[in-house]
Amino acid sequence: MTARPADLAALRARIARVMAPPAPTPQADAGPEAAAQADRLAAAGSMAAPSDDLDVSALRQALAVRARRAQVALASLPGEDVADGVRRIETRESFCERMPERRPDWVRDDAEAPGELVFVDTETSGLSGGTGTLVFLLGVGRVVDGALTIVQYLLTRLAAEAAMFDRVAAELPDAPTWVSFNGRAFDVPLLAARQRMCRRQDLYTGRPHWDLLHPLRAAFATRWDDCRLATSEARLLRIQRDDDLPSALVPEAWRRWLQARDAGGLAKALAHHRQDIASLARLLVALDRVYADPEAHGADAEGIRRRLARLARERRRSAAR
Amino acid sequence: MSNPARLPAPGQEGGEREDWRPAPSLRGANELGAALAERFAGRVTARISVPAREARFADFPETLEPRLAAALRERGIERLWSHQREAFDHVAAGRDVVVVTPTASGKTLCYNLPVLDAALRGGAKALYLFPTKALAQDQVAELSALNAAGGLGVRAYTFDGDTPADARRAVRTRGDLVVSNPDMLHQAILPHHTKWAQFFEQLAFVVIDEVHHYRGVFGSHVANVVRRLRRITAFYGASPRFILCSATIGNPREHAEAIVGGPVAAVTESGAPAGEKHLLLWNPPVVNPELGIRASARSQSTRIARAAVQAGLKAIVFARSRLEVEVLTKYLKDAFDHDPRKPARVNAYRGGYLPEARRATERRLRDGAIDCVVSTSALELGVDIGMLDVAVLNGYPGSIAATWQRLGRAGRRQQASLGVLVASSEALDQYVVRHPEFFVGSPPECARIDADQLLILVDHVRCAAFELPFRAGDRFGPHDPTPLLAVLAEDGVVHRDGAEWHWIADSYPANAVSLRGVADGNFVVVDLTDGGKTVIAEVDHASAALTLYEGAIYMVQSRPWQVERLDWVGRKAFVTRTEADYYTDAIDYQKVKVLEAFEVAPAGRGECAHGEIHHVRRVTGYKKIRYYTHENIGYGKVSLPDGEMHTTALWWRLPDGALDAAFDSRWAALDGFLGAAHALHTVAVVRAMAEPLDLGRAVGSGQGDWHAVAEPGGRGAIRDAADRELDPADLARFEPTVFLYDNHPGGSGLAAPLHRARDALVADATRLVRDCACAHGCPACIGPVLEHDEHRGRDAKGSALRVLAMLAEDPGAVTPPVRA
Repeated sequence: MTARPADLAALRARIARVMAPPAPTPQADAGPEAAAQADRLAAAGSMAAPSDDLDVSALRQALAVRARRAQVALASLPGEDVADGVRRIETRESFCERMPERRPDWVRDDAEAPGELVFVDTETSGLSGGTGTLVFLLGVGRVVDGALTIVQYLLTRLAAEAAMFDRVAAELPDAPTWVSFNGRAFDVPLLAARQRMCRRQDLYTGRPHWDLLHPLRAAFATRWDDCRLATSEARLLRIQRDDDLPSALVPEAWRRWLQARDAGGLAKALAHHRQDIASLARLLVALDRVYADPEAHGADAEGIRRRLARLARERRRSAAR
Repeated sequence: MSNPARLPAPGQEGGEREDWRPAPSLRGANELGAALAERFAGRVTARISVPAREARFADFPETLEPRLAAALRERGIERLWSHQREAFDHVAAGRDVVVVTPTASGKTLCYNLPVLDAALRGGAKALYLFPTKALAQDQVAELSALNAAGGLGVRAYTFDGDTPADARRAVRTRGDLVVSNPDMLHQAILPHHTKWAQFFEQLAFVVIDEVHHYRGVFGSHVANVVRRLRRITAFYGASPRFILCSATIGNPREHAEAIVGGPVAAVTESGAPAGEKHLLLWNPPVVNPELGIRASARSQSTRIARAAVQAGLKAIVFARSRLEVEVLTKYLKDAFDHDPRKPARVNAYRGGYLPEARRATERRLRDGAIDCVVSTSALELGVDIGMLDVAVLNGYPGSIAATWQRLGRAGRRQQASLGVLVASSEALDQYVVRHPEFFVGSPPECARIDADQLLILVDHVRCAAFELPFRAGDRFGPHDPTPLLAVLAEDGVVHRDGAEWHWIADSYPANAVSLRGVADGNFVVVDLTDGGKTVIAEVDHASAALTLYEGAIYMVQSRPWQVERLDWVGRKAFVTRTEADYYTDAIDYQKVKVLEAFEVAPAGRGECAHGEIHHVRRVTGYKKIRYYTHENIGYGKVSLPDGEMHTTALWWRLPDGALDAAFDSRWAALDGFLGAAHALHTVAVVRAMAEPLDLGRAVGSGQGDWHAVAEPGGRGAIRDAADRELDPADLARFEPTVFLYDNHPGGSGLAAPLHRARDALVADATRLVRDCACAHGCPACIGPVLEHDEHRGRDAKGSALRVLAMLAEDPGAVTPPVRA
């Protein structure tokens, strides 16, 4: 059991405190029966009659102050607002490596010729799963003309989730091939749930998707302590992160923004997330080299052979069908 | 002790010499009842007959899907019983409905008919909720049979904790009927509703069977789960009809309406035929007139069940504990199953047995392959075991509704059935058999819930916010949830954005809310005999300390194993086969200690407080008890972690000296205090709309150095922490305290509002005792009173009233009693 109010009186006191003014008096036209019912509810510790009469003017004032503070805080973030509550942050960096034009045979996917490769990654309010976990940062990366363009869509207001998905859909290429790190198991089901909650079409489930976690594991599970993206940066991609916000602290940074309009952690979370997508793009190119020459990269040649054999079997089977 | 072989002594069980066999010519349960009543006239305190009921038929609805009608005919069903048709018509007219029916009255068709009819017409899905997994599996088996008979192609699946992960997707996307339980709905389905989107979009029916089971705190939780379900179905644009079934309770319609939160039509007249029923109230004979000791209930129950089986009838024996099931099973197996080459005629059935073993017993019962089953309340619920002739209740189950539910297990459509309620020596049982009018004249108990109890409500608003954001104007049940959302926002788990409240915490709130308020983590019982490692049983956490201590004899189908080692942390008990002529019974005690008083108010000459308490239940040892003679042949020590619970309580206390001034003896004062405690508990349970088990009752010093109990015989006694009996006259301070506590770890929110109503409670309790028609006290007011006390006119009732007057703020304010 988690902590819960030890006692009902404390809860009632808190309700009284957070809700002003005090609960309304029973309605004049309520008959004796209703009064008796109200008495019973009160005696049994139930909700009193619903309190619809809030002190609206005081609330408006408070909200106005909060909104002004939010404006100031927002201005400190990079990017621009593309909808109320959706911040769009675009960055470019040079990227001279060549992307594979055909599907590499170490990728599990049905589509032979990929659509435009789109690197995708999300940051979420947590890892608990279920409909209470939401995506507050969705990033897509595309390589065009020797440059990696990363666009991040940041939810700065909770009510803007649907607007965020609309904006993403409007800017995506028609038939993308998703490239992710553990996206099949994590990001895709989560995005499916969120789009369902927003009554939006699901753009991710059942689409061509290259998930790089599994090929990385096949090559390095026996060589490294773990196969996290950060580990591949250090051991394969030679990327050094400075002043990085650890993944585990990212949801908290976003909550700090929501609750206290503290943008400091959020700026770091944006940088962390952008680096994840950049690393993903480099990992795709690197894995292609690793699979071509395992020994040269200290990879597990036997693991790689097994993976390739298994994928080949699967393709034969699906071709036979 | 003496040699048991020379002991055909008072109270000897099972193997009594004065054996009685029914005449071979005896036919049917009614003749057995008559023969028993004649032969044992001195023991039968009342004979009650319920006349046979004629069948009332109705035709299939004209609109019934032809394939469904054909499937029913294939199964031999040409017409409906009236209540089945009535339920169908209510549903067709767009009304939610609750059907109140006895056992074996074809209630499943009341919901299967409209559900299958709609499913066959295309696209309509249904969610079935049963209180246990076993009932859910039964239901799917029955649906499959009907499906197969008509080639209907309706897909029914169970969805519970046992459903493998890879099968879950198929259940979600392809199931027409998903059969689950409220706990799964709460923890697994609603928090993942987007995965169930297709199912919810087409959800046309929600079936809640055994709705009488959802009472008290558990029922209050379930009503809130239904509120959450309604939010989700509304999100997907569905508004399902609710079809509920209940056993006979005092307020089926009101209860169903409280569970679903809206008007419900009630079908209360069964059209199913029933043979006549005979009920005997049975008091074991007095074997020691000087001491007023009666023969044990077990000896009598065994005898009656034996007579039933010898007469060729099928019998069920209900015992009140798992241990009692095993002991009674042994006595009956000794009579009927002494030849190991033959299939068993007697089976035991209880919680803790492995699911396969229980399914097997159910199947053998349905097939008529066994003659007698001994069960706990596990078979009181609607598990399909076919029909039996005789039900023997070893002890009063504690409520009139539960008594009728158990008796209902015997009853065939065309033949007479017999029920025998055998009183134990406990005062409540003795009262019931001595005063048959108490049993016959009272309506079955009402089921009560308070879905608006604040702590429960806030738990479910939390879960609901996780499932879907709240928007301005959204209601939760009938309530504006804004005040609760504001509290949750303060905790940082939800966040307000304009008119919306969103969940933002990284947690899964449903996991922190248990509908049944029980600690999880079953113990498995592992048999190490002959070097093996076989799991033979599963024991829930609450019972483990009482049944699996090292040295305990653990029985399955009355075969004994001895517990060699208990791995408390690993939740395992290792046992080996043994041949013991005794069984073991745990000695436990409970104590309550005040941790902190939040608020103390004067109450008459004493005080009434509420606050946090520490409740400890400790198993200190066990007794070895020899079969049949029930001699105590030894003790063992047990060293186990305490069962501890921090919870909230309210308590009344009288200062040292107050009772001494008002009573001649502390014994009389203690009896009065215990009687007052009983009455306060009774009225508090009603006021809190709880179940008696939701609100614990304890009388003690408040420091945990002694506690008082009404012994099974009805007399008060004081025991210290080492379970030694004390004389109250020896206590330096005599400050008895009565605690009423939330019987759920962490508290379920009953104590604080009860404390606010403390004056009303004392006044209610006073009225309850004073206006009770009994002369010297009874189970309805101060708790059962001993027969010889009743005869001698010992005035426990007066003592209780005196104590209540001492607790009343203004004793004169209580209105004078109105006597008929």
